[in-house]
Amino acid sequence: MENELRGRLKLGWLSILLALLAYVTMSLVHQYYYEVHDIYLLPAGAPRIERMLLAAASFLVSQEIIQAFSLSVQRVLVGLLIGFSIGTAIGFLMGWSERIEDHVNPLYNLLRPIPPIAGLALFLLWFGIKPWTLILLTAYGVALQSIIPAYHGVRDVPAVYVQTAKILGVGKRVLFTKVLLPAASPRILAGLRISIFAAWTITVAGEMLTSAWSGIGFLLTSMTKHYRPGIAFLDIGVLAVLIMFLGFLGFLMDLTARFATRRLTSWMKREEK
Amino acid sequence: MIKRDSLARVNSKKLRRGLITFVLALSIYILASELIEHYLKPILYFEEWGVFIGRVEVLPTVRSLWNEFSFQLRTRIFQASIIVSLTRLAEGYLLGGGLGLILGLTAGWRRQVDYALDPWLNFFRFTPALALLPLYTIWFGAGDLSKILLIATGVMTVSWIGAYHGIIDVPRVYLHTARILGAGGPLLLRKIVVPAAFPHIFGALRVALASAWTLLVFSELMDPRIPSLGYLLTLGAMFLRTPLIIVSLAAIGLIVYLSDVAAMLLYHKATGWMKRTVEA
Repeated sequence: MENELRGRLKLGWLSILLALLAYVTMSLVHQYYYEVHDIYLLPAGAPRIERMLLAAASFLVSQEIIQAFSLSVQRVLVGLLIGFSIGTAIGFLMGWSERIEDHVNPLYNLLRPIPPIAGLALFLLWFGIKPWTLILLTAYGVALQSIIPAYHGVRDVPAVYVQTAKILGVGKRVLFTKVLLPAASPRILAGLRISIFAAWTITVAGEMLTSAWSGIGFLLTSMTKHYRPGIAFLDIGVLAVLIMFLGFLGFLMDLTARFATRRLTSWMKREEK
Repeated sequence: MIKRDSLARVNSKKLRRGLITFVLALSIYILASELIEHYLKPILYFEEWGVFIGRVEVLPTVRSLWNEFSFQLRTRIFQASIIVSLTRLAEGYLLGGGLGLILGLTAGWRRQVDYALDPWLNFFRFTPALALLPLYTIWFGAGDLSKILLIATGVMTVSWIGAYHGIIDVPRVYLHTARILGAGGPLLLRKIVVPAAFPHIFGALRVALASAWTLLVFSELMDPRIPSLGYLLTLGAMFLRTPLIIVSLAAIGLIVYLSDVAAMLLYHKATGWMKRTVEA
């Protein structure tokens, strides 16, 4: 087991190092051609790594990035909270009662294939460029995503559990809180991870598309707007840092969700792998 | 994602209930749009809102939707947009899907490849693909190429993960049995691993199709060029043409739905050999 982990780490680092090496070689060749022959090999250039790192470091400590990230994270969290609770409630009802499912299904199937980002145009028209518009869009996308897990979670609760509880004379509220909710929670929490990713994607996309909503997405697009070949070499470094930071934040959110899943469903017996 | 009521099991009760909601929602929409058009708009005519409320249809009437649709069809921009967007989608999807399948299959099959590719997979998995668009724009310009590459990246990630897990989760018993019976590498791969992993891989490819659509619409909204579906949406948002937006959204939804149905049909054809608990 330990041996395997060591091999994994070794080869992983090796591949990252190789890629870095390739990049450094490329940027050196690029610089050589530019300085000696005055030729641009790549239209956008390949800035030297130490310059990228310098730009990235000065950007990381700036106030700008902190503000942008706090704004985006707020949007994601509020949108997630609203959308996830609404979507889970709808999915729960659909899983619980076949009648509701039959009634809701056509509307749901009508909306589901349309990518939520495409709805941005309509949301802008209806609600204007307000801070809430993007949160609403995020909530809508998340709700659409989280209906299915809750639906399957509740529908697949073994009938024995429900019948046993009913025989034991349990009321509706206890049945909901003590039987249905715990039994469906693994599926719902697994859906939470997908929902987090959806919320993150929609928020960043909305910020990138509408410059009025400053945030991490706006920072990303502003990097391209300022960009001119040959002048703003360093912007690529900042861009790379932003993208990696985004990935890292996604990873953190996923980790949190996984941790929460483990804690909340610790009563389940797990197969050790 | 699982369709519970597949064709054979749709009974009349389900259909009736669905129809009731559908008709109800439709009539509510028609009623609301007509009310707003004929009664609410004159009342809401404030001084400072005047221009805005006078021109914009918040909920377009069915007639106005139909007019918009037939106009778009007549000018042929609708057909051209759909063809251009679909071509882009297909190119990105095939490129990304092929790459992701190759990467995932080799990573699942050879341990060293898996170890070496792991950090990159993690990078792509947790980074929303659309954040890469600015980078692609800097490198490849704001044109067709960066859009296709963006779609390919998103599709690659999903199909990579799918193929990798599909291979990893092949029951060891199958492999051991085949080995004992004397099957070598290529035969093992062709006859055991790929068929066993196929459902998983196909599921991933289906998810990838949905994400490809999201990325397509996003990249076309970022850089709207005539003709494309994103251009139609942007046009609607810029000139406050709600009917145009709704017609384009409906077109996108319909195409996504049809492509999903086609994928499912393909799937059932390809996996006809499998025994199922529920007959489709």
